[in-house]
Amino acid sequence: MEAKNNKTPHDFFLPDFCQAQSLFLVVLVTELLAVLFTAFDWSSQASFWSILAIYSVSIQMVTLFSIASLCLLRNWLSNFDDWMAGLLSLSIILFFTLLFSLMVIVFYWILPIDLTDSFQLNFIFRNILVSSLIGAATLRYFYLQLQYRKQLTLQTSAKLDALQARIRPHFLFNSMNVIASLTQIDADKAESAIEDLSDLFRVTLDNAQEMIPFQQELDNAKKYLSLEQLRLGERLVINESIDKQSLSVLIPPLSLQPLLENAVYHGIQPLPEGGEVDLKAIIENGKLLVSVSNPKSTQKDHHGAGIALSNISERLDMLYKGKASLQVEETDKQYQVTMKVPVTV
Amino acid sequence: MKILVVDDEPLARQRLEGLLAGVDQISAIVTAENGLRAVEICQDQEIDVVLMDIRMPGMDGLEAAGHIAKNKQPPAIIFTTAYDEYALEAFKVNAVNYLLKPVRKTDLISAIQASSKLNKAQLAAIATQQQEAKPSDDDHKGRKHITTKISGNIKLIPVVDVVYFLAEQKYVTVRHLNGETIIEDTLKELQVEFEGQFIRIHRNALVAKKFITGMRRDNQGHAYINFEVINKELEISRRHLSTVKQLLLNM
Repeated sequence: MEAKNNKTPHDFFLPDFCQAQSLFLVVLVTELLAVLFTAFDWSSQASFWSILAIYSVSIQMVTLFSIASLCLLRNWLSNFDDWMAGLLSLSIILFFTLLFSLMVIVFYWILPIDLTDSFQLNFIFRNILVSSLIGAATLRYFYLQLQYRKQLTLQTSAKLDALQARIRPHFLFNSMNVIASLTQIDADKAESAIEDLSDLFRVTLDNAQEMIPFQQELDNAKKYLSLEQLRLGERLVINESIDKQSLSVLIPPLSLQPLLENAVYHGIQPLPEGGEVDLKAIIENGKLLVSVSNPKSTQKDHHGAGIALSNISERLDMLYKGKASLQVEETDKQYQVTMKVPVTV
Repeated sequence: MKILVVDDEPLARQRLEGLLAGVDQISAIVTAENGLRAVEICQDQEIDVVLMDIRMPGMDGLEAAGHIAKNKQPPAIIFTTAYDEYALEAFKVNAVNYLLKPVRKTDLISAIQASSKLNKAQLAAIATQQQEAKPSDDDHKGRKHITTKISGNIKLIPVVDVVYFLAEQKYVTVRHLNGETIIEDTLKELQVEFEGQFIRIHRNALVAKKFITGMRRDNQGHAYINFEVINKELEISRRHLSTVKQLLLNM
């Protein structure tokens, strides 16, 4: 959810024009443009080839000089945000268009530059217009292509992270150990623990990412908590205050449970005396606010807390397009995560 | 055979107790809910085998095992864990006994019968592997307690209470909030282990940063450091003076 300011040249939308492959493609596309222009301009009196030659030389000149500069300036351009870098790149293209238009006037027509001459002005203006339209469209295409690639990698890695974050081996084996113990002591409890664990794993393995009512996510989270309660006994105290209105709000599955798992794993478990986990859900200004807070242990054991959080945050980003958020507030003694999502019923 | 079961989870303790209950050779089972308590029990009672959970609040199983191993007649230690990729790696490499939870009865019994004492080399190897594997910040590296022997018994001093370590002739003295004792570690080892919390101010002195209040120069040009909690000054050697000054400036 934070802005990515330090992008590597790899996330920059301009392709690396220094590479032979991109250079070849650019030359090819430029030549196609030249053919296109020639086709429009060609009348039967003139030779097709000589018009094509003139178009080719002039358009190729502008493109080659532009991409040479873009190649050299790519690193510098990548320091700007995408908008600015795009505008600067476009200016570079327009600069070369202007330069070559003037050169054509001076060296090919052998005329002094005279901007009051409507023919010359018209020539320059037309060139600039055409090159700005084509330039802008091309840059936009590069930008969209990068977004698309980024989206693809994000989706794949999010899926993988989700799977890893959901199945915490520690939780599975500890729960199994608890159940093994309960079978000897309290068979009924063992039975319900197995049911809870099965339900949790069913949700975990369910790949459908459809939204579920908050009520349902809360039920899953409670199954998780009851398993942890068996394990930690009185060391784990849960305080919950849930606004009834919130129960019907739709949220992504497994958005609350990992927050509670973090609270137990990093907050309660490292404390010899245990502690309290506060779970609150309210509706405020058209948004559902779910917050989980836990005491912070002095033992540094933040192994993996970040993975679950960034995973939820990425999923929220994808689903709500920036309208949801995940905030972490930390004091010396308390750690609180608040998830805010727009209310959809 | 007397067995100590160490685990912070009541049901996990009960399970091991249950599994051990019917075994012939076992005469008594004692339980502890954390590492600190386990160290105490191993001092007060003759324990043969310790079944030690790794991940526990307060003092974890690995640190507790390190302290217990310093006893005159240390018990054998078998680690138990549900899942701990880093520790398991170290155990396999160093041939340390361990069991995976939920533990099978047959595995448990054969592990107890085959149990042997942890040696210093195994412990040291595990400790370094743990340090490398876990990305921890400087302030929390190392043990949480230091072991000292008082008339044959081991005693634990919380590292947070230590004001300074001073090397005097053969031994290193620890000055802590409740007194002063001699320990077996060397200053060099301590400096590496607790880097971040302590600073070397002299060839013979390692000082807790948080207790330092300031420094003083006498008219012969010697520099001394003073502490908020105890009324004693330690000399700063010329070689370490600039780093100490740097620290004081940043405080």
